[in-house]
Amino acid sequence: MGTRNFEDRLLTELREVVESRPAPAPAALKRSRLRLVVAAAVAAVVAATVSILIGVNTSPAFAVFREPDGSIRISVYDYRDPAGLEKRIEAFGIPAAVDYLPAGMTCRESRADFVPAAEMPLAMVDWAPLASEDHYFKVHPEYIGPGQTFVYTVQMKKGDQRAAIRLANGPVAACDPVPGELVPGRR
Amino acid sequence: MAEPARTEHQLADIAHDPDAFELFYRSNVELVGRFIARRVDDPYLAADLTADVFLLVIDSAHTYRPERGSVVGWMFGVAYNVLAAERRRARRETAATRRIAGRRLLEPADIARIEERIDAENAAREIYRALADVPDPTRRLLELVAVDGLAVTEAAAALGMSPIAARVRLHRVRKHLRDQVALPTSTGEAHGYA
Repeated sequence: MGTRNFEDRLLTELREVVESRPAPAPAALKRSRLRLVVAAAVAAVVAATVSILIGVNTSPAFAVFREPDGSIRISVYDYRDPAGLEKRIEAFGIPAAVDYLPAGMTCRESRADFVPAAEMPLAMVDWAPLASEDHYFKVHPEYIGPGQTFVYTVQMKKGDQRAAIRLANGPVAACDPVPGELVPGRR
Repeated sequence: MAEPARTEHQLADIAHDPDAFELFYRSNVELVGRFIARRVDDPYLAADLTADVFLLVIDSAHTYRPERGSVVGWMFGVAYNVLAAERRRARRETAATRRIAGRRLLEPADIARIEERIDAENAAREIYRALADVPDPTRRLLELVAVDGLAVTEAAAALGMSPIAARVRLHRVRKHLRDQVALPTSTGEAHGYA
């Protein structure tokens, strides 16, 4: 390639194309770098979660943490240790009662003064999107009044858990399992 | 032909810095020319496509991610897209609609040189034509490996495929093509793309 040939002439034109392009905004560069950092952090968290899920015996049954919006995010990986989950939720300032029951069983309704279904604040709980692999829900504590208890009851059937979230006015007695639906009158 | 380390990590520069672009262009224009000569036997069209490839390189430099593979693999991925678009275009449009009509920059000496290169890549073009009936994305992978001589891992990275998925695809198609195409052995070693 001694004198100017096709490649040199093409380079001249391409240099003009590059020169005429708008310079990248510095803010955009900073943002994309930040995104990479965040993505790397998320990847690390995902890797950690996967290894936790794989280790059967040592894996935690649940995870509870406070979201930036103030809600409490509760992930249940394995339906065991309801007492541990109850304590953990209470550590976030929410009086709670957590019970896991076999299929077809429920706690005796007289254990508490439940808020009627029609009066439950719908915005109290956000459920995970169906596509999410993690079965979590978020509880917004501002909907739980003074003296009220958060009651989380799960009926366990292989591959098909049914959960009920209710509010009770005042304290909640220990669960006395009896046959029946989780919430009276609702299947 | 090794890229300077700077462009490995900062390829985005070439879209905005003419000097960075020139460095990239000079170390890759021969590779791109051969890539095209393995697929196209018309020097005028080859000149147009060379311009198209570098224009697309400029437009998509920001998409390059070093952790996903080498610059050369990425660039071949870009070149592949240009060639695929050309096949779709199927000469519906004229060269006048191109941003830079490469053929306008050709002189007789260039045409002779590009024709020589096209002749030199005769065997590769035979393979390229033999792959016409293989369905995508296996054909894309086969092209980069059998026509362009990329290592399987590098070809896989260029196509955003895992190396294992790439090997499985190659293994499946190998028996159908055994008589027509000489594929590299299962180690996936490149036989060089220069």
